[in-house]
Amino acid sequence: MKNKYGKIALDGLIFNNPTFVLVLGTCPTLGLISSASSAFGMGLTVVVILTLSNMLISAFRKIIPNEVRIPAYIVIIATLVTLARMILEKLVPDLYDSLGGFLALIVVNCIILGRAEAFANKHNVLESAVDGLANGLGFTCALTIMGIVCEFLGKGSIFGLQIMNFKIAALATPAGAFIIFGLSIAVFTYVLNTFMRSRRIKSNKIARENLLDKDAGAMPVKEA
Amino acid sequence: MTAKEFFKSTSFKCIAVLLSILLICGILLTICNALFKVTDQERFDRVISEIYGQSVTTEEVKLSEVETKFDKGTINSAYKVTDDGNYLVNVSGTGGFAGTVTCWVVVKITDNAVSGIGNVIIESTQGETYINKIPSSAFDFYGDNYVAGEAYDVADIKNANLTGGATMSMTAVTNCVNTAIDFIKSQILGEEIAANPYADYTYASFIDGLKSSHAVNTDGSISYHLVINPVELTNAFEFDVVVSADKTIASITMTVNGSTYGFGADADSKVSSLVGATLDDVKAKFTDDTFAPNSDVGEIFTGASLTGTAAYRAAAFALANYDNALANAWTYADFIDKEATSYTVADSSVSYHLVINPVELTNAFEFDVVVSADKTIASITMTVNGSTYGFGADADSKVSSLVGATLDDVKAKFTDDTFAPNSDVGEIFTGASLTGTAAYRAAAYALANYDLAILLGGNA
Repeated sequence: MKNKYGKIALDGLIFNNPTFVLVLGTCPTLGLISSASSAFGMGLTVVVILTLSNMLISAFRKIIPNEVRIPAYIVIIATLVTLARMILEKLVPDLYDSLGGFLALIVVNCIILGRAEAFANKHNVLESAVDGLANGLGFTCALTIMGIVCEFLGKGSIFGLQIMNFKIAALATPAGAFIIFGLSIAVFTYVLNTFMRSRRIKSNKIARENLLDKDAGAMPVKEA
Repeated sequence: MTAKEFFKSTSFKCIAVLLSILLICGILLTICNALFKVTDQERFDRVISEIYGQSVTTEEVKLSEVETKFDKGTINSAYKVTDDGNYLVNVSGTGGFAGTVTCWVVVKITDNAVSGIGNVIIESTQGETYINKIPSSAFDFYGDNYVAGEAYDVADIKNANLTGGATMSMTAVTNCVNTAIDFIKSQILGEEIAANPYADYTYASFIDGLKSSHAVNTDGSISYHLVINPVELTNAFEFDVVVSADKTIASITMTVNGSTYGFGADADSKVSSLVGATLDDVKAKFTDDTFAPNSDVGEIFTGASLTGTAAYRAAAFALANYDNALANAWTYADFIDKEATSYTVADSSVSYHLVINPVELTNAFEFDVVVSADKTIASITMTVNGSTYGFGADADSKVSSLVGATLDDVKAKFTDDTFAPNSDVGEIFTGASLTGTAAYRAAAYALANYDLAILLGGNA
């Protein structure tokens, strides 16, 4: 049982990372990664909304008829996004201002609707919550890492703290973000493939050793 | 399907579930809105805190008593900060990517005059998704680069690489700042701000009226110098356009290319292709009267559609306003009551009946003036004396001293073109300077507009 939640979490965070592997939520990714703090803020907001929407949709999955599931999901997600906007505007106005129009666009973020459709409506509330949390954190990590790179190279700062004067202004634009996004996917895929290959080699080696041990154990001993 | 079957059907279940979800969500949002609503006072306190870092005493300006709508923005609220005498203005500026941008602008006041801009803070936007890309240094630009009497130009901010790729949002912010300054000057400090002389013209939104001008030529053609407002991401364009008396483009030249991409060497030939065009020809190139990029019928100016749009807008403005420009070409028109004034043309001389607006405390004056072909005053008579003190018996002789005068003679009597009382070089009309001002204004108007009167052939 514990292994199941671990698998869901690792899938959302790494193996099916919504940004680097599934390439979902590209609009806020390209729009916000020029600033690490905006990217991090957007990520955290998505974590909350994705987890809650997954939980609600999972809880109501047996009540909502299949025919109207998409409009029902959209209404639930839109309500959560509106609530998030209200709370952020009231309590964290700086973050609310920095996210701008992208905050409202979370309603149509395909990660959220995608997880609702692909996972939450087939699993129980706890599993859906773990999936939402993992995917949200995967999205947050991806956005924040790319945000740090973009902001550092594009503005010479990290989280608003000026580090150096040298900057490549183009990287602070959506076009620059697109390049960083592409390179990040390439690096992530390379690291993931390398890791998977080494894991596969290791498991093959173990399997082979096991097989040899088994064969050795089964070999008849010749009497002297 | 019976009612019972309907209530048991999937359709009913779908409707019921969707309506239930909507109802629950609606109730939840209503409650949360009541809990988390940010009040106007709270917003205002945040702004004060951001600008001053502490609470300050403010005095609200009653907007019901002043003009709040300006060419490029609207004033939403204004406060006088009693601690430092500056004004805090909430203003919505037009020209953004998807609508308006609302800003708080601190207008600094020194010695009862605008002395600069303090902070500029964005309050809200409408779909300006790139606005957060504007670096904070862009907002410092206003405070660092204030020049009395000059409006901020977004092109300067753009040239300083401070727009962060959000040129249109920055345009709206700049309009906010310019509107706030105009508001404080005109409505609070009582200064006169330059009015847009082309505000009532057709397609007035295409041009920067304060930087554009026109003149009527003796052959009935009109020469315009038009500053065309930025088209989407471009800077302003400038064109010299001549519209001939038959209302076609006689010549058109782009003197300033606002294209940020560089239009290339063939700009002149493309622009000059408009020579000979009528307003209908220009309109026919677009699906509507916005002359907006991508509303063209068949591509204009291939590869440079924004420049093409600017050129077509210049041509459309010049052609559509030929009559307006002609009617408003009268020099010193402020001196007269246009409705009550008339003139006739005969034998190359122009006879005017001029009603001169009151000069300071007087009533209106009326004069009959004849200007001969050599552009001198052939005769001038005061038919109604507006002086409230009584001008006396020598009025006619004093006024008739203007006979034979040229425009230069009249101008030479004053230090400037206002012909205002007490701006005379050596006293005119001793003891009756206001009547003298009226007489000189009548003479100046009649002489300065001789050519135009001949051209138009009279209105009486």
